[in-house]
Amino acid sequence: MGLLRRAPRADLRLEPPGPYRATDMVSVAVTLPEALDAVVSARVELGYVNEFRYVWTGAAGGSNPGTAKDGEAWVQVLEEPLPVTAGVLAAETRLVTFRLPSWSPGSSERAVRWQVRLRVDRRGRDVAVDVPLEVLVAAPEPTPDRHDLPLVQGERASANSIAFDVTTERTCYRPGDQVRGVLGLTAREPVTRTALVAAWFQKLHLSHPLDKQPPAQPSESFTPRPMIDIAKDVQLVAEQRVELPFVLPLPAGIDPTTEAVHSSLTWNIEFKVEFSGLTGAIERAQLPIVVHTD
Amino acid sequence: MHPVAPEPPRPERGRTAGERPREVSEAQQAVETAPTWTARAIAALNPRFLLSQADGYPVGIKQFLQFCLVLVYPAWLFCVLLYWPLWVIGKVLEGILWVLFWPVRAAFSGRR
Repeated sequence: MGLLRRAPRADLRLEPPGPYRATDMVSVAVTLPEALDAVVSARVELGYVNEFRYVWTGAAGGSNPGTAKDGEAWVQVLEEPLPVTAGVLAAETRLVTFRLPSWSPGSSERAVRWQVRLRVDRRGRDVAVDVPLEVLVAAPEPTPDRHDLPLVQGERASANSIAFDVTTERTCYRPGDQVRGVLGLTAREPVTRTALVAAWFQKLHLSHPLDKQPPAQPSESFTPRPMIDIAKDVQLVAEQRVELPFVLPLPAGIDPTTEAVHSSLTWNIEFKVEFSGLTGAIERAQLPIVVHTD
Repeated sequence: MHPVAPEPPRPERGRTAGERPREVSEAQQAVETAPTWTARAIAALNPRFLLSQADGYPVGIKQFLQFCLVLVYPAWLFCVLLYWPLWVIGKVLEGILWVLFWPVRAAFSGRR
């Protein structure tokens, strides 16, 4: 009748429920309403589920559609064994305390999902209980300046007639902050068309799994939609610098910049100058920023 | 309260595709590094080169692909022998299209 018995119960409760910061203490109350027998080992784990993309076709694939898949891996950070006496885990409430390491990556919606797990291996039915927790990540120390995060431009030889330079008051932002700065544009060639200048935030999800083949390119996503217009009908003049001040609200609730074991998240502000007309070229520049949640 | 354990070291992160060295089979390496056109064609005629195209696929799929590649090996030999004339035909076609699309390029190139 062992198969028909109901699953053994266990309850995990975080005190306090969070959110947590690196080096914070996480206390977990593990409650077993009834004693568990036939226990081989029992432990409480702290770690995160790390999502990444991988290429299932090995070295040959990578850039073809259909060759990359979503995968996830459990990255265990800390572990605390529970005492088992003669194969019995007693019915009691036990407090387990972890200290989040200083290098803890910040929680994000999918890439890094922190969890506290109870794992009881038994000769009968195993017990597995997961509780999510949120870890906020502080701004990097020391704060990177613009030389560490330089503007990337001129990546396309066919659309490289404008020199971009951007000054922002900071390099690190919280979700919901306003990114203020000045965009300087200098046309290197004579220009007859007017241009639309717009910006948006680009999130890059770089996958670097330990034991799987990573895809050739990072996955990217954009926010906000539609993109933010900085200026419309701008008439650039060759060798004359045009300064366009901008205020870009960073959406609330976005994932922070993260470097985890199997994948990383980075943020860029993308600027574009789109010349009018059907055949107008689009010139782009990318400004890396750091997003932190604490 | 449990005693606080010292902080574990930060786990090593993996490497992205760009950070990893390129993985190619020996047979493919031989084709890529062949000094002359003929040496390259001869290296490509090696059946190991064709079989190595199935490398990295999951077990089962890899063997099926190798089976398919063995089937197409005679056709592959034929294609390698035809490589030079096919390349010349392609170049001629490219030249014809280049002349044909001259007015289109002239009308659409540049921002002005």
